Amino acid sequence: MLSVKHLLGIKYLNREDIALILQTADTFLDVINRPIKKVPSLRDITIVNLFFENSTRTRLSFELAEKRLSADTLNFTASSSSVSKGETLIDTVNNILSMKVDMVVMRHPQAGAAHFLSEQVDSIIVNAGDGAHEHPTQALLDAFSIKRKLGSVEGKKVVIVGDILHSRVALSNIFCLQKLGAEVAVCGPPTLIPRHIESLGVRVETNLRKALEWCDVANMLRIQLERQDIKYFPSLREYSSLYGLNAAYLESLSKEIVIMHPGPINRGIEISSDVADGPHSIILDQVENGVAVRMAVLYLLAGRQPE
Amino acid sequence: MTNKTVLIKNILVIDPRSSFNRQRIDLGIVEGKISINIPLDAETEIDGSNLAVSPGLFDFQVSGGEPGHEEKETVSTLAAAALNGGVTGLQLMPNLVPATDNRGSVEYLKSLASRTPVTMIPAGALSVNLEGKDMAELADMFSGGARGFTDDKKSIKNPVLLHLALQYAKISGGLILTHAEESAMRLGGKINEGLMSVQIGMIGAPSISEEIGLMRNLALAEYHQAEIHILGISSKKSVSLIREAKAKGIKVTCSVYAHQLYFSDEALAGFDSNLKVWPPLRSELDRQALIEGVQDGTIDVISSDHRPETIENKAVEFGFASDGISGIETLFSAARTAMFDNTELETLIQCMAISPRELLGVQVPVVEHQQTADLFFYNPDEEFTFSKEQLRSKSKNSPFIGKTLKGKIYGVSTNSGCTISDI
Repeated sequence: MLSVKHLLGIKYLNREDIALILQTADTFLDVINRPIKKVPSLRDITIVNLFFENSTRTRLSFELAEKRLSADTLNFTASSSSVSKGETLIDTVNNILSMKVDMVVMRHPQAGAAHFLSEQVDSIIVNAGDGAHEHPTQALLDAFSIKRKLGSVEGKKVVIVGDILHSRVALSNIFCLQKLGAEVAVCGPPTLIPRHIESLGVRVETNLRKALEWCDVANMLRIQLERQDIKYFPSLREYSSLYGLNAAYLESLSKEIVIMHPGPINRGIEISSDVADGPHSIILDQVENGVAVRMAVLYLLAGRQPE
Repeated sequence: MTNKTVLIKNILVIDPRSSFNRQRIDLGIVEGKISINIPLDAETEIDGSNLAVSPGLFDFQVSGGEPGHEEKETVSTLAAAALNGGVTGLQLMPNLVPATDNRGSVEYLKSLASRTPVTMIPAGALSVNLEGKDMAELADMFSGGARGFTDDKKSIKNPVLLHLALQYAKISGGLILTHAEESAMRLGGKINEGLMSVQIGMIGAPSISEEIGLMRNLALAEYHQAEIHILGISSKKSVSLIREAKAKGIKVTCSVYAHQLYFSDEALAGFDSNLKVWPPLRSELDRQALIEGVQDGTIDVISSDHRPETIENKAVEFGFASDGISGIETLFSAARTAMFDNTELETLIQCMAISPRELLGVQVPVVEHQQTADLFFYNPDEEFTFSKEQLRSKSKNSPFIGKTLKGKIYGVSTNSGCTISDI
């Protein structure tokens, strides 16, 4: 059993919870590779996917995980701005729950939104990303992917490259990897690295080569030029020249490293096609693993016993 | 109960301006005047052995709701809340609808307040409609009773406006009050930039946004040799900047909010929107520096920054919630609790009853024979758990609900009489 009722963030999980989720995900990875990719485990459960922010892959991945578990699913997509002006989040969710929905998977642009919801409504909440706070299933699938590729997470060195300041993936990954005994570094232009991040026990590196020479795994984040009104770096071209990864760069390293990316990829900016599609990349494995990990999370939160 | 003649026996005086300070007296209140140690045939006689008496508190920065946002607070609910917190006088921020930016509005507010026992001094808007562009009619508002001029939470963005206002206040009378902030340097942050902002994944607003604004304001005040009051400072560096400025002879005073003395940003781990305030709760180091600033006199005033908000504006995602605490009722207890071990009661009374009135040129009540009985009664050491039911404000956005506080208020004496709850 998990020690938590909701999955709000990795920070609220202990190491045993994470281990249980990854172990359960192993089983489900087998399931989705069978000819019949579906189990009846959650056929009595109804899940709503509540997305207040654009997301394609996370929503698809959750929806598929739910269907593979035979849960009934509902999708609700709304812009958070219209919700903030009109119906409140609590009202929206309570309306849906009145239709006898058992679990809520929520993506929301505001940090803390899932935590807030869990205190206000009577349902099981799965955080599918809240602002730049947490994206726990992404971190779990990343850890699962590292484990499958390298045998274990413990003792591995992982660098997260890119926009750390606005990234929920970075924060959840830091918490998750550290709980599993990995060392974590962040790398990017100083304007995109939050002050005080070293207080989380991560290394801070602004030089990509040094970071890559240090690590076993590089997790390349999607980069965007503008966040709100602030341009944090001069141009994508310059970013790419300083932090973009291509095959020649990888070849020039003194060691082989694993390349990850949470998607969607900006080909040619943070990562070149020859790397994304190359032998070091496990980007598509991450996507496949994502379904298995999300199945594990939903299965365990629904109170089902691990097999 | 409200009584015309009251005798409180053996009550402790805490009033640095009184010749009876730290003495136990028999305090009589007869027709609104104080009598000390004189036998009295009072309607009510109370044993004050557990109580202290001080000049009624004056809350330097209070937002009301009337006119414009009566759903948050009315003048009448504000008065009830004030008295519940031992506050007998307050300065009302001009952030009403319409803004208090002309003499008519000042006089209207004064007339509304005159129906309550609480002395409410409307602060005038520094700029027309709080827009930060053109100066409002400061002299006319002063004639109407305003004593402070401010654009409240809108820091003065345009240095030219402050440059003009600091000069103009020399003929209009009144004190220029402003927040210190270079707002672009918030960087979109809604909480303090620090260990907590990293942990909860929020962009942090660095305290340097306040400090850059403060340096600019101090430079202008020095240039014009003008008086300026900085509202609600929040960082360690701001305390030291003001300490240095005072040592240099710059005529600056400043205030801090009681909740900044009590909470640090460590309290934000649970995303409680009742802790969403501006300036944001800073680090524990900043909090300690603010307390030291009060102790050594760098900080002149402790206010509540009372900012009532409806549940609709607070029971939403943290980022969408309005800033503010309904804080006037916990002004004293929050500060007392935060500084219980290391700060004399006299310092608290100085910062919450005496200095704020002196800054506005308002008469300061004093616990002396035959003086006006503008007082509050409290047990400075009593612990109590603050509950929602205790709030008299129309708004319940208090992060102190459920907290154990020290320094329990038992009542007030104003020109409307003396009210003391059961001891």
